[in-house]
Amino acid sequence: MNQEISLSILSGKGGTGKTTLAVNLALALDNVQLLDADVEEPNDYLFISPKIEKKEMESVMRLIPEVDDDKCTACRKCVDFCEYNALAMMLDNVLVFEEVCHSCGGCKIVCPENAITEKEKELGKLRHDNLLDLDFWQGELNTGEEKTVPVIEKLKTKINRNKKVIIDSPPGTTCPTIEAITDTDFTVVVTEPSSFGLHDLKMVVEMLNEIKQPFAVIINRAEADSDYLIEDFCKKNKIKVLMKIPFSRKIAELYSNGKPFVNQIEGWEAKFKELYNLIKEEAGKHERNNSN
Amino acid sequence: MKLVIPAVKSGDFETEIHENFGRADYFAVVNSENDVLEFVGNKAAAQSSGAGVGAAQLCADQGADAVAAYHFGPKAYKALKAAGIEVLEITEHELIKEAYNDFKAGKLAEAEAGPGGHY
Repeated sequence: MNQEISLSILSGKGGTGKTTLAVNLALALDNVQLLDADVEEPNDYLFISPKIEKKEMESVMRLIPEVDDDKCTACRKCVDFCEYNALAMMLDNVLVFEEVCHSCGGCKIVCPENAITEKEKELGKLRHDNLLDLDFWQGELNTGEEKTVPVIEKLKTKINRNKKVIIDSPPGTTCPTIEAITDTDFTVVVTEPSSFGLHDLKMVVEMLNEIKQPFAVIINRAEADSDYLIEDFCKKNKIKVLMKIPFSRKIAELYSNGKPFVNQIEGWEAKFKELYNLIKEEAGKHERNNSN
Repeated sequence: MKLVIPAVKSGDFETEIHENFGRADYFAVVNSENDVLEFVGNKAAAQSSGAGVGAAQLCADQGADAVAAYHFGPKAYKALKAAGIEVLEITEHELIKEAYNDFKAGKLAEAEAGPGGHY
């Protein structure tokens, strides 16, 4: 087994504290890699590398069909084939709606006239910054684009298993989230002690059980009089609560100034280091269970 | 002239207009030459993406000259325009007959492309 593990950070609901956890945990550890896979709204960079736009960049491309009107006989096979309505036949001309195209290439295959070729289009970008102890990568979807998964796939090719890998996943329970957490050793679900937090936690737990991904919970904005909302649910479902990050004005103020609290409030660096060891232990348990 | 209006069900001139174009369950197709009204199901309504484009395709296949709805997304708008279909806006109308009567009276204004998705 590898010395280090990869973990993904996830939440059902946006705004629960994925960024807070990902950034602070990454900064507390050494030999770490942080990948921001929340490609529709990556924001770890604000705390890690605010000028990342000036750093290294590479494009994520995808293929979209291009129709040669001279060869096209308006047979409509491509339009009928496309499940996603990315093609339409209007007055014997094929229209291509690039945003909804899933780049499957099927239209090109079904065209009997070889009128369809594929061209590359930039879907998103990967950005990179190498800090002292932290290798930081970010996936970014271009404005107007809808397909996040290929950007996340490309981002995952940058994973370095010799490091502690932290993936900040997109919130929710759909394809982009699943793409981001698949292949990570362990998932940490961040939630908050509110009815919304609990509702969305339940959805995430259902999804994680479905794909058999080992996980545990962290409560952010923890408050003594409301934590029972999450704790009761976790106890009932035998889910481990790894940590609580308190609902604190100080933490919120630091966050709003782009300052990770791990560097600012005494004691947290040690807590996050301990958290990583705890996660590693949990992930190890799961590995043993699986090999039994 | 054939006019297409999104509808909540397969019914008659008293049927309510569907608030959405691409995700409408049915389309009312009215021929203004003989006032004959037909309803066709919209299979694009249940599709995961591109409902607006699928619905526009259906309108074109029905031989529509004009389509009237509360709102058109950018892709549906572009597709309808490419088919040479008139894209009209309905506002406070609730029933198919109200929109149809205003259409015949030439009172429906041209629509603009709005934001896509559910609004």
